[in-house]
Amino acid sequence: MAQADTLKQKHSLKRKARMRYLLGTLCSIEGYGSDDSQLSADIECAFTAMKTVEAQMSRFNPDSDIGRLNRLAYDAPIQVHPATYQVIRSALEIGSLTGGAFDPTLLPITQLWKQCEARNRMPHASELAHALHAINQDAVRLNADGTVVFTQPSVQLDLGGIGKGFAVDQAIDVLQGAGMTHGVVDAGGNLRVIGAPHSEVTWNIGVQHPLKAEELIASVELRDQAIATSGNYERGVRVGDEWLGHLIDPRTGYPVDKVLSVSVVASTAMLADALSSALAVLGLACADQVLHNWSDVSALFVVPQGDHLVCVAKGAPCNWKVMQDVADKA
Amino acid sequence: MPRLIGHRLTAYFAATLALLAQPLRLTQWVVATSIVLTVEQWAAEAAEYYSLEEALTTIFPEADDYQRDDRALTATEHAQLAEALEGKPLPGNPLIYTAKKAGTVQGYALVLDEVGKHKPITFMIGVTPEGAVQDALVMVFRETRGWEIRRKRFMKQFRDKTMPDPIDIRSDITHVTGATLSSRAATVVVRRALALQQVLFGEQGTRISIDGAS
Repeated sequence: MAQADTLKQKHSLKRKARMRYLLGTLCSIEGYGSDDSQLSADIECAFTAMKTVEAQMSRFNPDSDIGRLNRLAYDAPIQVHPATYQVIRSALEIGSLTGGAFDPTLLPITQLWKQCEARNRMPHASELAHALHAINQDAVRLNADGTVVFTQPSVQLDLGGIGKGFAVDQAIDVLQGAGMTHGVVDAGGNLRVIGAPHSEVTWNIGVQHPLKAEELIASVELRDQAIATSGNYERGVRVGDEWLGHLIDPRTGYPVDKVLSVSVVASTAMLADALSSALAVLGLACADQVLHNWSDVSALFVVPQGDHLVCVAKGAPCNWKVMQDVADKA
Repeated sequence: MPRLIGHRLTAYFAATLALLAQPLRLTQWVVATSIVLTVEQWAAEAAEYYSLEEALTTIFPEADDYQRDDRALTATEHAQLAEALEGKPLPGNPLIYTAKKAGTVQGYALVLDEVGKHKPITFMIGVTPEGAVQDALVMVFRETRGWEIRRKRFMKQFRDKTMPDPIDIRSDITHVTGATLSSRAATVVVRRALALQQVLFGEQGTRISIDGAS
């Protein structure tokens, strides 16, 4: 905030912040500009862009592109909005580049584990095998005419692991298109910044401590970049006495607990969103191999080591700052 | 996280001036200082995202009239709401506005509070006459976050660097990744708003009179 005050004084820029409930989370947009009413209008336009993404890609809305695909697309090409087409294409590309650790057809397995939690029992092998059979991103075909078709009847698309990031990117596009040079769009911690509050200072983003709700474990300075975090600490499935995280390996169908959290800094919020999930599934050992595909992506892993936590940075160089007591007992 | 810096300073100086106006012993100063800090902290945490007028015109931009409904809920209405909300009673009386355009109801705006992780968040939920959510926004966010009021030291420790780099988190950190921001509170108020719309207005477009209340 001190930075923001300095900015105001030096450039007479006004600051405007708004918060809405969208995409199942609290989304905030903060922008700087010279005209107060123009700022408000630009921010509302950015929210509208996010709402459009939600309307097009929510699987809970039967009339959305994803709702229609999941009902009708087996063996029958369905025309979708170019934005939906783009996100599906990106999801499949990231799925391929991560060796299936990210998979937009994961839904049947997620639903199986939720059912098991409700019944307080582990899934039977036959149930897992059945659900795993339904996970097949190769069965999602994108045609050149802008249609999408499923080549397997049980396949269901869920863009939940990438759509929020795309919505953030769409909002950023609107703000930049309106000439905004400083701002941030934050969809529940999946966020992207424009510029910096000051020409010499970048945005400082805190990384939540995975085990201490009231603390941060690291921070990072962003400039025209996005960050997203995936972890097993806030959501998950409990079966009997066993706590199973919500991150499920699409290749095995089982929840994974290799890492406590992974934060990914990338050029777009969509990439950060999807890669944070994929890297949390893959774990530290495979990080280099996957991050090799992108020259400008950085990741911070928080992993347990004995009774300590350690932070490990992977990928492109990044100015992560880590809590001094990160190696203390959690 | 946005903060009302101006309000914080105003509150701080007002409280300090009030204290300076009278002689105090040391113990009283300790108590008094903590009061000032509490005021300062409270003001620092509250962020207003939309004023009432901004919220109404954002949710129903085409309306030309926003009528405030001041009538307290009747016992029957409370009972119906409790039933719709699975036995959870509605806390207090909500602030309700009916948005109209040329006399036709565009929808209802309900101002509702719900505690986030620690403190109440004030939402405005717009509901259409048909009972669908038009929009949901946060008017005031007062959430306390531990990291905002704690000062911790960070250090760079990567790529063979070990440099103490103290950071004042309160002034340096602008946003946080990896923490879910009270979305549960939002789902609670949305459900509450839909139940209120259904019980109070049904599909009539005007408030249903129950128990002979005016």
